[in-house]
Amino acid sequence: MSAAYPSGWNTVVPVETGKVSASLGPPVIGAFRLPTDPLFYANFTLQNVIGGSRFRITRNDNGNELASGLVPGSVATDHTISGIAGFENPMLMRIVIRNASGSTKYRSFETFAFLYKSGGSSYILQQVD
Amino acid sequence: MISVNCSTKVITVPQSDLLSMGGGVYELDVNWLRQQLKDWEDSEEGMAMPDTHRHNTTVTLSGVTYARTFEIINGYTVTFEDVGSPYTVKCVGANHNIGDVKTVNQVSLIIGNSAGLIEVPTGAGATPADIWNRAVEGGLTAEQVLRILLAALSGRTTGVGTAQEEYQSVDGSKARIAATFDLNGNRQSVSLDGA
Repeated sequence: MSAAYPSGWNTVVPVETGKVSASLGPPVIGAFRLPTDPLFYANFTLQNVIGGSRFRITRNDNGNELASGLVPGSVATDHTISGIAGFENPMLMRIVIRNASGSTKYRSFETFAFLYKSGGSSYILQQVD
Repeated sequence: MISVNCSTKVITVPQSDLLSMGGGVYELDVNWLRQQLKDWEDSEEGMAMPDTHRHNTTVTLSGVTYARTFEIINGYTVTFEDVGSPYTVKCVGANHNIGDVKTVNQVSLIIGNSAGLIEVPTGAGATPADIWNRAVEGGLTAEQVLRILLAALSGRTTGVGTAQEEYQSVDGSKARIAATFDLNGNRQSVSLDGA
């Protein structure tokens, strides 16, 4: 994207996001994206995941963690994770699901899925261990 | 409670988690260990780590329930707490490979695995000779151990009550067991011949 730096006094540098943008007051007229910045953010749904399971989603190419957490509830459900950062379109992700804290212990489930700009989903088939 | 060191992949089992059987022997329920590891795997800490083990549950075939198997994998090792004095851990509840991944310390392990039908890499399976030639302990094969036991149970003896006793083979051709004793009747040295 093009950028304009008319003068130093009105350049906005929100360093905490890793982005640089320049403006003449609202609206923003330009922004730079660092190579480490995501291309997009999208939602991803874990289908049929058993409540109480812990999930961890990482980039397949470098192993960096994209999301992790605990699925609420105790029965099989669809769980949507909002705003996963996408660094390429599509982006291959590794998904690990584990659930062994309750009385029923499940095998560790691992799968891979693509995250698109439009989002994505994966069917989770957990088996009792 | 067990702990897992994420950087060294060492699984530590405290002595207090084992069931004391008396005489310095403690029992480890391997299935309990499996469940503890499963529990750790789905913790925040464990999620970033590879699986600790593989498990195949019990299976019933024609009315016989075969034991579960438990295999430590991915480079993890098992350390039983070193309490400063030797003790023995007897494993029950599953066939396992803990003996292969156990850290060497003052704790000894009674593995307790039991095999029924097994597969071998080549050939049609284990022959009777393969089974009898399996080393049981101290380099003695199963066949040799049986000969020595037979001598101890029914072989003719010499020197009983003296400082040196011998237990003969059934045909009396050789001493299967030759032992020396101190004044208190304790064995000081034992020579075995199972050939």
